[in-house]
Amino acid sequence: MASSKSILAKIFAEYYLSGAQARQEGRPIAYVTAFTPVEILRAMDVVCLFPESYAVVCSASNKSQEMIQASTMASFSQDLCSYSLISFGADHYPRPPYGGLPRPDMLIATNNQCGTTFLWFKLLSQKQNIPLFIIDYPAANPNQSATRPYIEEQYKELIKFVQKHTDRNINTQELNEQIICSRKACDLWLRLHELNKEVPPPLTATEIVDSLFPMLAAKGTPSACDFYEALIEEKQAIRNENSTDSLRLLWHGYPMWFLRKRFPDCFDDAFQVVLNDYTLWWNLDYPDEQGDMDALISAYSKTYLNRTLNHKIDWVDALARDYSVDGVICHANRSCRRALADIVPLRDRLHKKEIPSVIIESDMAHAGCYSGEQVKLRIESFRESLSI
Amino acid sequence: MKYVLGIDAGSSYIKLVLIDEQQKTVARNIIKRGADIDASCRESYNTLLNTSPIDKNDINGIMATGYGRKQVTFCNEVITEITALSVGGFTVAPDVRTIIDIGGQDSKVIAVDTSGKVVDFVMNHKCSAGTGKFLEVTSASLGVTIEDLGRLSQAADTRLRLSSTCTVFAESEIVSYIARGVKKENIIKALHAAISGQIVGLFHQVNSVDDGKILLAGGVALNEGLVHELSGWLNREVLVPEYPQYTGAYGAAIYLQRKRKDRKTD
Amino acid sequence: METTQHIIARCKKLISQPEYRNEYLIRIKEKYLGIIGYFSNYIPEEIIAAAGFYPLRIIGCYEPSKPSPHSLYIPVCSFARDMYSAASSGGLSYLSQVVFPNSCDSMRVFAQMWEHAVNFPPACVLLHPINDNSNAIQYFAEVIERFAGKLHQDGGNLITQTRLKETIDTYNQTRRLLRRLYDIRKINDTFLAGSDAVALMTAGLIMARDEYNQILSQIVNQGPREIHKDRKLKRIMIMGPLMDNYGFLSKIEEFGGYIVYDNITNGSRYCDLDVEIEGNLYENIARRYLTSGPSPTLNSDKEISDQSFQALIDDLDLDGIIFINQKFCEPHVHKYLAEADILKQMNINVLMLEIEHGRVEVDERDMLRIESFLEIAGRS
Repeated sequence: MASSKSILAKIFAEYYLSGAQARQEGRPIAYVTAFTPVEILRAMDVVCLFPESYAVVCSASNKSQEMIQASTMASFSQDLCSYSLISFGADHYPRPPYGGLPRPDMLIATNNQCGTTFLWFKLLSQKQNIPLFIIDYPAANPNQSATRPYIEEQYKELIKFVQKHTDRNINTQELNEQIICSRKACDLWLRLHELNKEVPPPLTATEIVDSLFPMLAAKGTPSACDFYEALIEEKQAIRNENSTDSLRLLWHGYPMWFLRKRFPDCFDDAFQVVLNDYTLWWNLDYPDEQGDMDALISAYSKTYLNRTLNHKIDWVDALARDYSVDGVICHANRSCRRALADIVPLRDRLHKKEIPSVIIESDMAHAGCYSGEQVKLRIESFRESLSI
Repeated sequence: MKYVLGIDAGSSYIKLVLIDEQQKTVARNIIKRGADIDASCRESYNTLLNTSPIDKNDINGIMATGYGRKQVTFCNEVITEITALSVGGFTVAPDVRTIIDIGGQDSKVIAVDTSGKVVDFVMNHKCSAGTGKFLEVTSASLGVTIEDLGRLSQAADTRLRLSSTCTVFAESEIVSYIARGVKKENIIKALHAAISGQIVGLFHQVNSVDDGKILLAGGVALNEGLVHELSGWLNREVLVPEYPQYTGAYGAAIYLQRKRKDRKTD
Repeated sequence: METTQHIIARCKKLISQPEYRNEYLIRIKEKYLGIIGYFSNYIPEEIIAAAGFYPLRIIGCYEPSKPSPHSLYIPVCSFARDMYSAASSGGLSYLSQVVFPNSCDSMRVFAQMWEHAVNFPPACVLLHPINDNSNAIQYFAEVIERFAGKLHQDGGNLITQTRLKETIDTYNQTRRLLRRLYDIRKINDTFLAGSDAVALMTAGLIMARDEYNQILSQIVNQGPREIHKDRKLKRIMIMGPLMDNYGFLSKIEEFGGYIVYDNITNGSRYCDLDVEIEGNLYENIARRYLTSGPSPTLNSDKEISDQSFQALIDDLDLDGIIFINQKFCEPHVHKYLAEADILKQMNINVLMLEIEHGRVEVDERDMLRIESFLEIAGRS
């Protein structure tokens, strides 16, 4: 069996070559947001590229500040989401990583993660004259029975939209296989996280965050499953039996992609992040053995950021218990307003459960919003308060 | 007699406190921070030694805290100012449950339990108007000294509003007021209100154990106008220690002394 | 009969003096099942009114800052921040419930924080769609009908077809009168200043509808028929979200501008379309709310690059457009970014101002911007 590292390298290379290859082969390219039902598009032979993921790569390559500056020089407000600023910056920046993403034939955006991605793609569509399709997911509320048929109609419209712009039809068998595959990848993704319920945890938070990429780029394909299977096997094999006395932490919210370890350099064996709930947002709720549109609606309408406040707080609260954490670090990410709403209520809940928590303020991708000393001071003070 | 030194290497000032075995302050010194934090601390240390009768050899421990704590090369240990302020504030007034510190760079609200242990803390946002630096910058643009702010604000006769939570925005609002010839006393009062509003926001985010007393630490606490304003916003009495600017340094010294005692008894 | 001048002064008081407004509302509350506050143009007032409640669009507070037990530390727009602190210090306690839209993340954050920390009055979110196609209209009609059912449960009044038709008619009447007001102001710049017109329109969001329709028709009927266009006045259109700060707008006019038209929430976007009264009324309401002058929170096909927009600009004889945005208002920032270039290509002078909602004073730098803009704006 191939190593997880080699499978990941292959997935990465294939994804970044897919745009150029699609151009050569005359296959259509779509820009999609993180929680777009890519299974539909891939079953229509559309190559899906994720500008958000590209912004992550730019941020991790230390380019965020320069690229954001490029977009603010083109009169974009600094207050906008850093993913969108980096993405717009790529158009005004001389040498963007990997040469930038190729121009798409269409844009597909959703609002099941935030209200910004839809505005961002709409602006892109207006500025570059690219056809846009928006899938609207009214906030997931169990009392709204009108929502499901509304989303289902939109999926049908999406298929028509792609047909109109690409002349391609949907391969329903392929769609079915993709959905089954996505579900398997989600199961494996969850299992990987659950390894860290052990003491000591076999994976660092960095390792988990850096394994997220296939959940986007290769979702619905066997290679994503191969990768997670290999990684789980490797981690199980080298399980560390030396149990040390350690403070276990939950990192709530986004990592910081521009940092070498994706998290501030404040952690060690005695004080470690065992779970970052952000990566579990990708564990979508695909129903068992179901490969139809209904399964997709279920998965994509109940994304974390589209849920009610109480549901979100209950979920994180349960994770804190299941992973036996001693404290929670909440990342107040300037870019993501929707995620920011959880922090105060979550801290109140944790306080009731006598789980200490601390807020740090920064950004997921904009290195200029990161004040290392301030963040470290908060985390070190938090560590002191847990240790004394 | 053996002594312990606490150094608070803050972003604007260096504060030193020397305590004896009874936790009594025997000497203190404050200087403005220079470009080299370690050199500033040494300079302050030398002044402290030169102006007090204590012999250097009788000082058996140095603890540094504050934003420049890691730059202090001649200390034995470091702790964060959150811990230092909680220990310092709680020692001064054991019925305190909330300690507020308006620092040059950061403002903090710390909740402690009945034994003085930190149960929660929050700090200001990176870009917000609730810090001492903001007072400094504004007093300069109004042409008054920072010491005069408290007195002047008490002569205000209308309530103006600084709507902004962002320093850059707030500064431009202040410039507008100045351009319109608004009395500086009223601007200063509005400034105090804006800072108080920021602090109240933090205060409501921190999870306190009970409604015990509130203590304001940091040099800003010497500004009576601000203390009065803050107390109004919180609708609670705000205690100010005799030497508020030394709370962190004092706490650092106490912390080290306690740690050494604990070690001996182990 | 109350003079126009007197009416406008009363409207301004309703907008800028919260105590006067509260007294007015508390007095009127007795005649209804309660006051339902709402925050966006996507909440159908007709339904609230037909259920026997008093629909109140919540606007700025204009109160000097005072201690509030809670504050939104999140970088949401100043409107949401102000309203949150007003609500948590009891400033909206005369409402019996509030309805949030599903329009932008600032509103979503606000709604969630309300649920967590304010609680009174109780809140609900109307999950309107962001698309405007037939499928979305169908979905929205169901949401509205469900909302009507909820109000029936809350207040006990069944919304009959007849009752709903009557209410729609009353609201359509307001829309028609407001459109006439625009038409008059378009041809005659001596009739009513733009800042006064905005005050008049904003007060309509607060005032009892019958009373409002009556004063509106009085003003409109007195409107001049002759054309008057002072060539020295720069004809300006304003764009943006809710703009209830008439004082700010009067600054634009003091410097020699005439606000002839707008694309703001409490202006043309409020009154540009009627609800049809034949057929399925819920569907008609849904269609009207989704297809009227689109807000940037919606995914609409209507674009300013359309010929109709060019025709509007010619018809208005426009000298320039001023975007008045709020800091951290994402949808309108995006709208500006999308439209500024197109407008410049159409040879229209564009100015973008970023203001804080609820701040009465006009920033010195903004005054300078406005003054300079009016100096250079003009038809070339």
